[in-house]
Amino acid sequence: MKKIIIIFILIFITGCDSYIELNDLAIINALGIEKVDNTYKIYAGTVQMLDEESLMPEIEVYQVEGTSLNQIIDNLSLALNKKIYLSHLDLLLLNDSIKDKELEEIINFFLNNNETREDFLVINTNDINKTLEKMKFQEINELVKNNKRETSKTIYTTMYDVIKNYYDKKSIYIPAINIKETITLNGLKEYKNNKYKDIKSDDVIYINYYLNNIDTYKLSFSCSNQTNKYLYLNILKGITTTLNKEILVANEIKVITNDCNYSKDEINKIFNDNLKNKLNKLTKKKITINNTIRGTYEN
Amino acid sequence: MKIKKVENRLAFFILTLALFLLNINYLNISTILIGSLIAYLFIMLFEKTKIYQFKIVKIILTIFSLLFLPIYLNKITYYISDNILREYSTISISLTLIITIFILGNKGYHTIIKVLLLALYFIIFFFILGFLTNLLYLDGNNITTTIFFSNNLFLESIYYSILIIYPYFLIYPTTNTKFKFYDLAFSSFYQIITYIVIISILGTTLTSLYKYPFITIFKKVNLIGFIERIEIIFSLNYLFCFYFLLLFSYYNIKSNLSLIIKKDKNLTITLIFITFIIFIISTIIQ
Amino acid sequence: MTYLEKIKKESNNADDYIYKEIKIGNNLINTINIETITSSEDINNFILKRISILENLESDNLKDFLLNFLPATTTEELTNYEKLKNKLLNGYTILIINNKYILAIETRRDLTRGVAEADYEKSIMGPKDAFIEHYNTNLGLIRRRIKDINLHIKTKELGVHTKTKIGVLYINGICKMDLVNKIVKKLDKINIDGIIDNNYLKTYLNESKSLFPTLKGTERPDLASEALLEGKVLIIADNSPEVLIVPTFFIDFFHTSDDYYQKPLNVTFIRLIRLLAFIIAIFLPALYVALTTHNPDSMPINLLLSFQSQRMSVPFPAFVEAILMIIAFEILRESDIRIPSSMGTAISILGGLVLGDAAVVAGIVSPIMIIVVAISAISGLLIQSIEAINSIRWYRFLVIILASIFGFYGIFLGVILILINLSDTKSEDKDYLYPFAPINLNEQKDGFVKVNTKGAKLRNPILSNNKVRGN
Repeated sequence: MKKIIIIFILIFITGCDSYIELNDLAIINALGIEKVDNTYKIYAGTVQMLDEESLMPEIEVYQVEGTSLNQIIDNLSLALNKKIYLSHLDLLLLNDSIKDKELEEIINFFLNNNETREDFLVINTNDINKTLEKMKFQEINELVKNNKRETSKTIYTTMYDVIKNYYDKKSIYIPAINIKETITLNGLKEYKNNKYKDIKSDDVIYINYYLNNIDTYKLSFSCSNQTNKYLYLNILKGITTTLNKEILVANEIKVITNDCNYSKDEINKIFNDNLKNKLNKLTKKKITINNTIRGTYEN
Repeated sequence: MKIKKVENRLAFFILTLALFLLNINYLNISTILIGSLIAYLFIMLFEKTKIYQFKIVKIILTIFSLLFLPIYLNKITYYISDNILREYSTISISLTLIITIFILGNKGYHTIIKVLLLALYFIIFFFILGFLTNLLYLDGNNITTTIFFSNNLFLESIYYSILIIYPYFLIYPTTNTKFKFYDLAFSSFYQIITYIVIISILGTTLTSLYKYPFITIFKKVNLIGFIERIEIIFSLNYLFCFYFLLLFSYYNIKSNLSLIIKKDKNLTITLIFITFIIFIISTIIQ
Repeated sequence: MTYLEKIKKESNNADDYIYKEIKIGNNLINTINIETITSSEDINNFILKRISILENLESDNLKDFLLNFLPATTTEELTNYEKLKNKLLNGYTILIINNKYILAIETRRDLTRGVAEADYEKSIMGPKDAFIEHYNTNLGLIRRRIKDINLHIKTKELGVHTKTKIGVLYINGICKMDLVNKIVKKLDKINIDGIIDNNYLKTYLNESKSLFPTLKGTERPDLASEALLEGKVLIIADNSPEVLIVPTFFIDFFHTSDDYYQKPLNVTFIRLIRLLAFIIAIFLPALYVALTTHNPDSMPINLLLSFQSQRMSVPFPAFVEAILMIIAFEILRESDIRIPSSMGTAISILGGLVLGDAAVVAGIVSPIMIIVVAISAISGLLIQSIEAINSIRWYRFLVIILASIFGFYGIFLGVILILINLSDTKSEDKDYLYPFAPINLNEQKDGFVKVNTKGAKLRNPILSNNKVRGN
């Protein structure tokens, strides 16, 4: 009995340090960082459900400036009058102005902060402010995820991948968003050696092959002798194994329309030539491809 | 009611796992293998010569526990503070931890083993659950040959063998249990598998960047769009294992205290004094 | 003084003491009986009818004649005044022959109800009779099920003013004798005014300081017989419709008698649900408080936003809200037991309205808190024993307070403290958590998971030395 009293007294003496009510949290769902003339500009998009009847939460954008990241976060908490809460961060928007030095500072900031979990999506956009203002709740995350799943024309890059590739000195692939009136996905940006390089969406498929990251996608080839007829292929699965000196690729292909009446071997040859062509630009190893084809073809 | 030998072996498994996880930044697969062999040789030597019956060994062990306890209390407090309660002052966390250890440690070995067994039902359930969720995120490309090599192979192996010999002394000689090879083999095997799973999910660079990589692998789990952010359950799970490490170490101090301090009076006052000093030292350590 | 005058003086000439004089020749027979606890029909049939046709006999012969030929099986000869008082107050009729010899004949009146259905331990299948307040009926209900000559009884009379008859039952050959001796020794030390009910004995037989009960009272004879067959000891008391089972383990509160009448795999499912309900009942409000105050990062973002919008109108912090709702629910539950059924419906509607709609609309509590507290309270009612339900309440409070101060780490501390409390209890020197804490895999076949054991499972090794058969 005495022990219970001692425990209770000690517990009440220590006080409640981190007791915070939910209404005092500013939940930041999207964060945008850019550097203009040696000052950082940070845009924070906070979410809040205003009424109980509203279906979608609303995003409000706040903008702060400063010289170092940590100072800016303090300024942000002053601007918002609430406690900054970064654990539910889902999106990080970067600009072409983020180079090695800034990237290192950003990575250090996220690694040293206990609260943040580095599983958010990282994208590159040309106008951060406008993107945040036009964006709806979780719109970009769903866009990239669905695109990756249906067409394999983008990569869902999380902060883990960015950190890993930065320290391994490999190239970092970030999805690129273009905004004029609406938000559209525009291929990838490759960051290596302090430079950004654009990659078109059609070429992203072959990068995904190289990284063993393929979901399904569709290809079309025009017939050799007739211009209005096409061969449509739906590639269901693709697996890449990289060995020491060669790369093995295995695909499962389904033929949707075969207007040119190609046979199975011809389809195989067309597809393999195309794939080898594109993959040879990425790597110099020997490539062997193995396909299983279903659908309509002439024997 | 007698305690069976199986239950002591389960305690050994949990203690070695806890020590492994707290020191995972210094370890490697080859250090685990070589260190286990060294530890096994030493333990066989200790068992043949029955070294525990000498008083001097018990005194050395108690002094080692007195040094061990503040350091690891500090480590575990920072573990709690980093993963579970982020903005809390570490003093209150370590105070409550040492108080519960004091209460449970004074109740006797029988009660300690019973609490361990009850907790084990849930610990093992969550281990299996965690393993199954991690299987979906393995990536074979991350396993390279660098996980077998390390810079200071010899020193790290000696360090790892100490991490096995110390739990051996905490459990086996005091309860007169015979040490069998498969205890050590099973715990080393489980640790190697844990290490391989961590490396294959995160990769070698990220594993060395994070302080608790065995928690970071759970942050990646996102099933069905709804089962996410489950790392807190597993961090509490591992916290149980760490808690028992501190508990057995404290029990060792308590049971051997009469050899160091020769008094016939009630030892609880000295025990309270000692726990207080341990608590103060652990807050001063950086 | 004659016996008659002594009794008249000590009872202060009470109204219901009936005295009758019968003269047979030179002999004088005085009958004394207490009208309220004896049945006059029995007296008339068994005693007075016989006596009225007697001839003139010597007093010695008269005593022997009455002792041997009265048509009652419980005729006894008493030797001193204490025994006379004892028998008189137990409902016997006393015959004093010539102020020399004392005879006692049992003519008790049945003041109890008949064997009825069980009140709070209900089951779907199986027998439905229950114990009542009559000692002999209770013993008879058990003897009907265990027709074994090895079913032994040790009787005592406890309580200075009540002199309640208490019986300790065990099956010789299955039960360990040191357990029985220990219990009898503990009962011998009791020296109180009165034992009104069997549950008064719990404080003397119960030595542990934990919140969980170590003795179980049951009102069903089939449960009591099963306990006897396992090697446990029963305690029956007069005027008490409950029978105590000693020793009780933690797992017994999760077993019902229904479990032995159905298929094992289905029973496993139900028992796991009971375990889940037990855990929910203790931890769910604390989990909610910890999630919304200290650790909001364990929730998906949609849930977080939903909670945030619900808590916007509430003036209290989450911890105060939880305690208020729990107290309100406990008040409602207590009032439900006491209220007579004629007023029941109106008050229950009022309670439902207050807790349900009105509090939410008025903006005092958030709807999610009502759901959490309601689920936790209903899950706590799944256990059959009322004492175990009451002990959950303290644990629930402890964990809520710890969770509001320390968050998830507080729940961890709560779990450790509850485990310490549970592991420390011993029920008659046997570990309370028997098949789980010192592990015995064979016994766990009937623990939370029921395995189909073909034939019979062996007996519990800490309750009996005779391991061969079982259930």
